[in-house]
Amino acid sequence: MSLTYVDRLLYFWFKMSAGPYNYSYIFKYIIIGDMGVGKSCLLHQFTEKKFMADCPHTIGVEFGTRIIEVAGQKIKLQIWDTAGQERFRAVTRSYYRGAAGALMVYDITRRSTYNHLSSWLTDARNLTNPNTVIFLIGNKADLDAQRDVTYDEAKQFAEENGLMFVEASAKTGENVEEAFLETAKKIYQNIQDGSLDLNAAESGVQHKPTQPGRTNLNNDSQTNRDNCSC
Amino acid sequence: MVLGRKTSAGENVTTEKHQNNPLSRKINKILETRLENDKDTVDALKELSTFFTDNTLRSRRNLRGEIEKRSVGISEEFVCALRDVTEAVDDIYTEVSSMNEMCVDMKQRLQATKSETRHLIHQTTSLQNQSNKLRMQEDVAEAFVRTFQLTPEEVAIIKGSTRESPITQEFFTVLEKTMKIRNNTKYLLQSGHQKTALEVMEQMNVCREAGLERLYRWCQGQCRASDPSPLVTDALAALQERPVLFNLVVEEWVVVRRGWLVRGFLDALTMGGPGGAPRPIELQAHDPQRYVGDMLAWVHQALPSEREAAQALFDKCSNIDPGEQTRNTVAGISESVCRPLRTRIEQMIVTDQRREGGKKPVLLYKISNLLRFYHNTIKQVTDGGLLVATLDELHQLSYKMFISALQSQVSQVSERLEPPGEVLAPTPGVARTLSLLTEVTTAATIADDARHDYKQIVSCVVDPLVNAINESASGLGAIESAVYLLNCFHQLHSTLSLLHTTGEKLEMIQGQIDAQLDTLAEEQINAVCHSLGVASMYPIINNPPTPLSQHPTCHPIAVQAFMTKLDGFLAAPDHLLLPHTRLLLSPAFRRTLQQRTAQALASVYSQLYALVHDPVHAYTDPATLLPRHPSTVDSLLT
Repeated sequence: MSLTYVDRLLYFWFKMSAGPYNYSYIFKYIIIGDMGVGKSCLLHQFTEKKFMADCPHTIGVEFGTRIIEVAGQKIKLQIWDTAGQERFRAVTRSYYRGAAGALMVYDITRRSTYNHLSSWLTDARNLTNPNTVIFLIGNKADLDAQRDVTYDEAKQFAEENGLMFVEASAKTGENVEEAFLETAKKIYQNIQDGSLDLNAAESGVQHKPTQPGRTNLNNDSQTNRDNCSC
Repeated sequence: MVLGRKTSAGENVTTEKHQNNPLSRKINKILETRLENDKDTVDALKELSTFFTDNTLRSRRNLRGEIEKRSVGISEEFVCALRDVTEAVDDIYTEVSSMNEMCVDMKQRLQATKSETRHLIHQTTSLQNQSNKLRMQEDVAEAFVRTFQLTPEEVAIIKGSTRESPITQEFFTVLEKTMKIRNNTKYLLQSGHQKTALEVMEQMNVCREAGLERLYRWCQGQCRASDPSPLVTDALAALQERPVLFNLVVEEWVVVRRGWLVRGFLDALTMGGPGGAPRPIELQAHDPQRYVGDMLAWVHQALPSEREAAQALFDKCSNIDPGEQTRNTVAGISESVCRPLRTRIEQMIVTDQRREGGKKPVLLYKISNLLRFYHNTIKQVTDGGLLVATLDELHQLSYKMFISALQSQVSQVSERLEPPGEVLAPTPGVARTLSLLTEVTTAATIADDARHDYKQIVSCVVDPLVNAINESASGLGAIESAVYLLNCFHQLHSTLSLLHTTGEKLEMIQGQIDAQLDTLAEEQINAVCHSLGVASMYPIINNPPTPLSQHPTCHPIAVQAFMTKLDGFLAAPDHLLLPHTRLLLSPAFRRTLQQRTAQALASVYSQLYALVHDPVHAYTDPATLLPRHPSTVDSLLT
């Protein structure tokens, strides 16, 4: 059998030879963090390349998409931007399911938003799958004068918890692109080395037109997996 | 010559004289001869000079002969030469005559040939014309075929070599061409070629029909494929002219995707993510809010992909509104999750009734709000459809269940409302009911329009509660009842005022509070007046007989006794207050009561003071009797 397990999956499921869509995968992201840290602004900056001043509070969840390219593959990011307000937690918690990437945002000028990270992280770990790439973003990096959380401190937190980390500014656009792209690269890498099990529903990575018959595929991949483990 | 003329001019007369003399004429002629001017003579002389090399007599004598001899020689030579010439001319003549003969001959032959070939030439010309005409006809025919017919290759593309041969980009080009040809037939019709036009049209229709039929079948296959070709978009645009086929394809698309969607949903419910993380949604069934929320969020998150797929599908359709078609398609696809969603949520709403005990109205309200939230959210995507209707129904149902649960719980508590205790504080039942109200109203966090519900919720809770409170207070005395009611209403009021949107109910309760305060104040004033001994004076003061000092009730001794008691009251005002008013929980109420009592007392005192100090009433020494000025009393009281 010349194809690897992942290749076969790609072939059957996720890889698009020429669909009516000009991309090969969908990666599902979720953006989480306290209210007012700039989650919606980051999303807007990433999708529209514009800064949205006076951004209204998000009601429940909002949704944005953009197609990017990783290793020559076109990938569609389907980004779910959650409301930071506590009152929406009951709703937003349900959106962690099956996210391939989670962007966890705090505001470098407000320490409290940083202090809440561990609770956000707990939620993210509990509600997503183990392969979900979690990326920590310290937003509002343009307001360095009002900084309340040092870079080193956050960097250390990220390292301790195995997160990717960057300080970004939704206002200037600094590092915004990088955060989304690095997350995608990491997810793609997980697919490549087979650690992200694409066979399962809700892996957060999807071949565009939902799934074809899963029964056959399951049997197929099962035997394959057995072969591989030998 | 000039010289000659001069001579002739000089001898003009002489000349005329010798005119008739021939000799002289001759002489003159000779004289006039100028040998040097006669070139012939000079040439002749020059020639002659070569005849003889030496001037001898013999040569002089023989000159004439010599000249003649030479002349004869020359003539002979000439004759000889001329003979040659004659002979040559003769030859030429014969040759020319023979040539002429040949020419004549040739001419005759040519004429003969010409007359012979004329027919041929004629034939050739006519053939050539015919050939030109045919070539033109060929061009026309080719142009006609180009314009009005398909090539065999094109027909093969349209009809497909086998049933399974795939649709390619060329297919659409050819399909486009058949359309163009059909449109072109109108020129044929206009130019009077009805029959041809109809035939061409018929051909094209047959071709298109076959093509579209094949396209339809191909589309159906593509709908089922995991990886539909981008040409499906073109295919649907082409199928637009056959609404039946178009709708069949769309239906197939919807049916197939419905299957995928519901399978995905059931997988998420029962299998969860890779290696069971995230966990299957059904594992959350013990937490109904989470369970319902997760299911709805899953559905919500599945919709953008469906919408995008549908958008791509209808991208090139021009006869329909792609937006509307997309919404309808997504609505159609999303119908599949209605049934599993409905059974599960209904089960949550209904079974929850019995299980959760005290928490159920709050939980039901949370679920109801969740359903409303997703109803609004999903409505924005599909703009109607079964899913939205289902969510709406579920919301209505859950709201109804919530209201009935709330009512039943409130009535349960109200019916068994504990009788008020000694301290006349709101009983635990009241507190429980109010905290339920608070809990319910704060549960509506996610819905922005939840305030619309408050009126009904508050009515559900407050009306039976107020009735129950009133009922439970009925066994008490007037004062105890007023205090108890005030305590209850106070709590009710402070709870409701936090809700901001309960104006009417607040007014009602404020009215009740005011009424109870009035009652209590009256009781209190009565009690104080009695204990100060001023109660009996009061009616007389209001309508004083003269002199007042003679009236037994207002006798100076009685006034003095009142003054003593008042002093005591002023020193310790709380003493004479009704003991139950100390049980009022609201300091504001207590203050109000105190103020009203003080005001009443102060007004009585100032009336009495005015009468006592009035000489008409003949009190001796009024200053000793009522030493304090009303303003002093007023300020001491308040």
